[in-house]
Amino acid sequence: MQVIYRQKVLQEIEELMAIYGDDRSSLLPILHAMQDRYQYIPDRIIQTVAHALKIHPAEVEAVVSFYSFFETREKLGKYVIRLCQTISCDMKGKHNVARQLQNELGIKFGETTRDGMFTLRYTNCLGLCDQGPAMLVNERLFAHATPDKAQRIIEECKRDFIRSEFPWTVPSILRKTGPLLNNGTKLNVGLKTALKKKSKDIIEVLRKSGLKGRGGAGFPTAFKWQLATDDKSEQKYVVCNADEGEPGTFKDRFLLYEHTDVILDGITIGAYAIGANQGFIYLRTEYRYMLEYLEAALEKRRQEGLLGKGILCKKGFDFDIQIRLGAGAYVCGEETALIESLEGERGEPRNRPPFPVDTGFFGRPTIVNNVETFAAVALILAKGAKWFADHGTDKSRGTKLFSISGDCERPGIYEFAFGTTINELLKEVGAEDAKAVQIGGASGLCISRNDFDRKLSFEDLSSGGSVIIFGPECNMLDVARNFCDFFIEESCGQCTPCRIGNMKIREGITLLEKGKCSSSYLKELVKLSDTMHLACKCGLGQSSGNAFTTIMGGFREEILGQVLSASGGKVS
Amino acid sequence: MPKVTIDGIEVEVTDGLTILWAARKAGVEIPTYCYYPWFPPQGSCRICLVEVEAMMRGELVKMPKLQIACATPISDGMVIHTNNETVVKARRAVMEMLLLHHPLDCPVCDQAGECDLQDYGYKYGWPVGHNSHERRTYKKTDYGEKIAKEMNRCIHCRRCIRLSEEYLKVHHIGALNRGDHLEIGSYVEAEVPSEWAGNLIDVCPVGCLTDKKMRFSIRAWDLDHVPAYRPDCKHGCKCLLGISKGKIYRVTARFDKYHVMKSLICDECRFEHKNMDDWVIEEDDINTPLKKKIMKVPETDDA
Ligand SMILES: Cc1cc2nc3c(=O)[nH]c(=O)nc-3n(C[C@H](O)[C@H](O)[C@H](O)COP(=O)(O)O)c2cc1C
Ligand code: SF4
Repeated sequence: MQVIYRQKVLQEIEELMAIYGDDRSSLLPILHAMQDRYQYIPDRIIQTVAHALKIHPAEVEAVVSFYSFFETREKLGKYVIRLCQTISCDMKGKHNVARQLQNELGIKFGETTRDGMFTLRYTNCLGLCDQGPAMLVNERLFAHATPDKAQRIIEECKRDFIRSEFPWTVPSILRKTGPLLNNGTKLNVGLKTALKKKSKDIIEVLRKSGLKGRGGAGFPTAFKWQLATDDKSEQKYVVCNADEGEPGTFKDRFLLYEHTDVILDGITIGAYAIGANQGFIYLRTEYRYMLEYLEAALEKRRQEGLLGKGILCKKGFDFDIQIRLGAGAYVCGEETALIESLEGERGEPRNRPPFPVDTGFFGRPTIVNNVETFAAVALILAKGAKWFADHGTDKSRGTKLFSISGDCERPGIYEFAFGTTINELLKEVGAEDAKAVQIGGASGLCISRNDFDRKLSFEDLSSGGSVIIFGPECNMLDVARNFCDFFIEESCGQCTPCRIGNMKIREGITLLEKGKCSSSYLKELVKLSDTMHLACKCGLGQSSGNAFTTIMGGFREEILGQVLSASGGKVS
Repeated sequence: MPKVTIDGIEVEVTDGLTILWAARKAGVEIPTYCYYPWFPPQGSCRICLVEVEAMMRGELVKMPKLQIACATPISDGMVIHTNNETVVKARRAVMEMLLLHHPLDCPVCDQAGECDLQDYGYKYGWPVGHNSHERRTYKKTDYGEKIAKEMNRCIHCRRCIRLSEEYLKVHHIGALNRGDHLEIGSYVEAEVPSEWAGNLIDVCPVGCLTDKKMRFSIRAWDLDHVPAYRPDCKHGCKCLLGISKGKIYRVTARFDKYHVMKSLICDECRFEHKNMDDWVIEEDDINTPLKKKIMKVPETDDA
């Protein structure tokens, strides 16, 4: 039994506070460090952290219990194996891997081996949907898991990965590039061009380019930045949303790793345009393996004068970026929840209005943008608004990265211009026999064959770029259940319709599976998800019924057929 | 002053007011759970949803989602519907969901008769339920000797958390876990260390937090409510006695017409003095035959 000495913990916390600051916002980084050192966060550490930050232990406990990567009850194993349970990995044989992991270790999911070596957990989307089933062992990613590979990984854990047969990380698969990725510009041109302009001219360029946010909601970037610029507050913040939690998206992972400097340029341009001097990258903890690499990239920029005081010799433009890790909560991708999380709180969305552009991080104007949005900003400034606006459709300018996974021949990252139809996309990725396509991840819409001529664009099928393809064999009720489970796990639970509505929908799905759901009750459930769309507090709840509604709409025959066969031909 | 129309009634209201208060001014009732005028609106119970049409560039535009009345500020020319089909449907759904996990143990609940869940359930609910699944239940936990906590009845309005943080200045209560496992609890299940902790009972709109001392002794509707104060109280709390047949069953804060406490009362007044001799009745028009002492009302120190 490891003894935890309060005095020692306190000293460690004080060292961390010297790095992250002594206010509440350092809570998450401290908890991460504590969990790393002690493999869990027991009461004694909660109390000591609370004492150091001058808050109550109940407040720390509330935060710890919110995030799925923190553990309070029992010490986690030396190696925590997390198997992705989201739909893409589920379709690729997650079940077999799960069974073999349990066989090898002799424990169930959620348990720890008695020797304290291994803990087995399920987790949601690891950003490897195109190479699933995916596993995360501590912070190491493994793709294409098979029962056999799972066993080899366990063996390697026992040897502490000395002379590992596996690469230290899994590279992204890039299948199709376009103007965005083939930009042919030199490093930092965007930033240099921007710094020669006035703030209002930068925003004018963005406005002309027609750039809309790439995180899913499609809010015009120029307008958001304009609002933040108009606010005359002394302190402003820029936040890069790298929480990429939507099932089926993995393009931010690619961009952060392979185009780091373009993104950092974009963030710096944002800071310059709105007059911020502090930036954050909110990196999901599943991508922690990148942390060291990103920190090094930031350090290099500091040395090159691209971060810090007087950037590029521009007097008065001081700006720096910190990376903050999430802790396993999809809802923290929602911008107000993200800000709560940065402040060291539970990641619960706020009321909107007020919007972050006027009341954001610690009440100050804050712009939150997606990773890809920042990349686009840097390139637009380097190459001009017209270069960008020439692609895409009238209302959706430019090209966008799509993360494509599921039943297709060539899953991976594709750059398409807006306006591409699903049919065109399917041809490109080798999935012309697809039965359905999920656009926008779990919160998106499930499109059936009849609608394959619909377009990927903000005016038609808006998304953050997640495309999951379901082949002819796929059971759509399983898909609906998987998405519903995802929302139940990830709902923050503060508002009634989302907390309870999703449970109710899952009950309905269970009834359908058992063949005990009447079609009139099914109708009620669809109505319920429409109500959730109108009534929930944040985007998570509002969109959580989308998949259910569209699957029940598009595959009614198939699903009601299941009702009949399961109940032996009689409808009860 | 901006003018708004609520369910066809036009009212003029001060700028910056929320829809909820504009509606109250117009005499239109909108149900609320998590809203409490003492705290900033939290907007999580979603029972106060209304449909809003707002003026945008000279045109009346319907907002795509329903808006929460408690936090949405009015603007000139707004048209608000609190009772149309969409709103009624959403409100019924929220009401049904709140009751879905509720134990419906009203017959043995001390809050019965003055419970917002009962009242709104009666007014806005729908007699047809679709209950097909098991109720979520919680392990029994408590808040010490005086406050009974029945977590299964909780509707997660978090008024108790906010009251203790912002007024009692104790941070012992918080929300734990997330999603369907969300639970309101106190740190290591301890008593709330405040001499004002009893106010949590009054701020709770349902029967989750009740007075342990009066538990199962009388129904709320059998009580006469008499405003009184205790001359010996060092805070000068303005209390309300719950009396039946000359016996004090409970002491609570006084409430305004929206069932909001007028001021906090201390735990000593609330729990320790059940003898009529300790109290001074404050109003003349009370017909209960009680001994009346005339005394100057002490200065209150509303927390
Ligand atoms: C439940 C939920 C999860 C979200 N997750 C992400 C995410 O992982 N990454 C992201 O960039 N935006 C996410 N968003 C959208 C953000 O709230 C926000 O709109 C976005 O970061 C704005 O950036 P943009 O304008 O550049 O798209 C999410 C929204 C919701 C409601
Ligand atoms: S919709 Fe869901 S995730 Fe969003 S605030 Fe409500 S409970 Fe939380």
